[in-house]
Amino acid sequence: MKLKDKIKEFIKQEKKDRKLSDEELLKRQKEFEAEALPHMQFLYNFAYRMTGNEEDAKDLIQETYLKAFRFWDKYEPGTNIKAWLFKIMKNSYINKYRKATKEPGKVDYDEVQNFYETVRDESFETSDLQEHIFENIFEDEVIEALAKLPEEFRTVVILADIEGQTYEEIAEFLDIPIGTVRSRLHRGRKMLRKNLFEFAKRKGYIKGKPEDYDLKDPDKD
Amino acid sequence: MDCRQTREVLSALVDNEIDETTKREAEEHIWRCATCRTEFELEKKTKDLIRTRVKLINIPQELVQNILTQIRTIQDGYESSVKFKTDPNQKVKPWLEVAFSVGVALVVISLSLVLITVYENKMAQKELIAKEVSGILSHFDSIANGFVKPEIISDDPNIITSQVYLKAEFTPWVMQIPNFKMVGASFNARHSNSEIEKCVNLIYRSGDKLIFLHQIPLHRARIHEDVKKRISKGEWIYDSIGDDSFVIWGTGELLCCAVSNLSKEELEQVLKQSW
Repeated sequence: MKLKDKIKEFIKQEKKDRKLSDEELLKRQKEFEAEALPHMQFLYNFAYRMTGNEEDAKDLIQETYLKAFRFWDKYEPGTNIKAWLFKIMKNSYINKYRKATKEPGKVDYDEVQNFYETVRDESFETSDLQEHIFENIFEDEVIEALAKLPEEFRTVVILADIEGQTYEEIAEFLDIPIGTVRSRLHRGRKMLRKNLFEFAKRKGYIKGKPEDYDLKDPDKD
Repeated sequence: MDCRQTREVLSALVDNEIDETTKREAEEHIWRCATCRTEFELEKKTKDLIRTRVKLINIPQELVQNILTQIRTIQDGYESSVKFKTDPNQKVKPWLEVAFSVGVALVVISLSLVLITVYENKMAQKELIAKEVSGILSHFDSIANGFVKPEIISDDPNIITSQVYLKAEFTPWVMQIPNFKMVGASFNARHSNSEIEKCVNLIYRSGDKLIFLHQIPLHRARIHEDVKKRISKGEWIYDSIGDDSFVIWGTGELLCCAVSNLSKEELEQVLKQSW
């Protein structure tokens, strides 16, 4: 019933704000449906991978679309609607799932990590061992490994590798420079590979002496 | 280009998101440097792995419908008659009505069963079983009367199935019943005598016939030893209460109980087909 009250409020606001004729309202609705609905698949997949379940993903998408419709006047025709919708969803996601936001002044973890990553030249395991992980990995394991990534890395990996977005698009969605997209993606994939390697090790796909698998934790540097 | 510079553009090289000059420089380095070459190969494989393993999923059908309904409601400025957040409910209503009448009968039955437990110390086996079932009946009844809404109602059995797997705290058995369609599912802890693990109730419907399939892990189910013995021997205990029939059986891990407004014989026939 909460939603119903919300909607009532919207309507009241709507009528107070501007006096639209019925034709204008209908036109607005048609416009919204034609522009915004085609991007639902993209948004839903992102929401699903971020929240990890259908219920939350559905809630997030519903909230996003209702908000978008409410603020449809704020959207400038001809600009990137997909990015606009994505940002609305991102805000809803943050409000819902990340109540405790990063404290201000915190060092950008991403950039620091990446610096060390590129300076340091050692790998977390020997390459021929890494090769083996690709053979026996199933969807569930990839999803689990993905879920373990810190949010900023998970976001770019989902957008690039699952949803097939270009760097330019991702940069616009997330309001970050293309260089950052590049580095987060590199780092994110590497961390994911490390997680997968841990699975493979645990499940015994990889054989050998235990000391061969003494992984250095790249996160602790 | 050195190793550091190469690593910076490695993802871009894998994704071909790179200008020609930088690409050439990076490739030159990779050609010479085995470490960076491996790193490049691994990144490429990782990308392919994610892309091929994690599939895009389709939007749940009811989601689009819900959003459109809500938008149109905002638009029309109209309110009370529309139900939000629930699926197109009209289709569900007829069975709720049928279930209502079944439910009324069941209330009477379960009440009388309570009386029996109070006044009779020794119950016949038949009554004993009926008592076991009465909790389930009353749950069925409260759903039918709308006191409790099944957590899941959908037109699409696949949606119900995936939701059930997601929410259940054990692996339930989603039985296919010929000619019956799964229309909903509920979870309830109260009558299972176990607060920890919930049981699963699947609701099947065919016209005005309903089957309510209740499941709980056998080791959690607190049922009478005599009944337990009988079902662990593989017996399916069929019986009826008034116009309604039920059956209790075990699958090894699960205790199953089906309640229906079919006759005992019909229920037996239907379940034999689906077993």
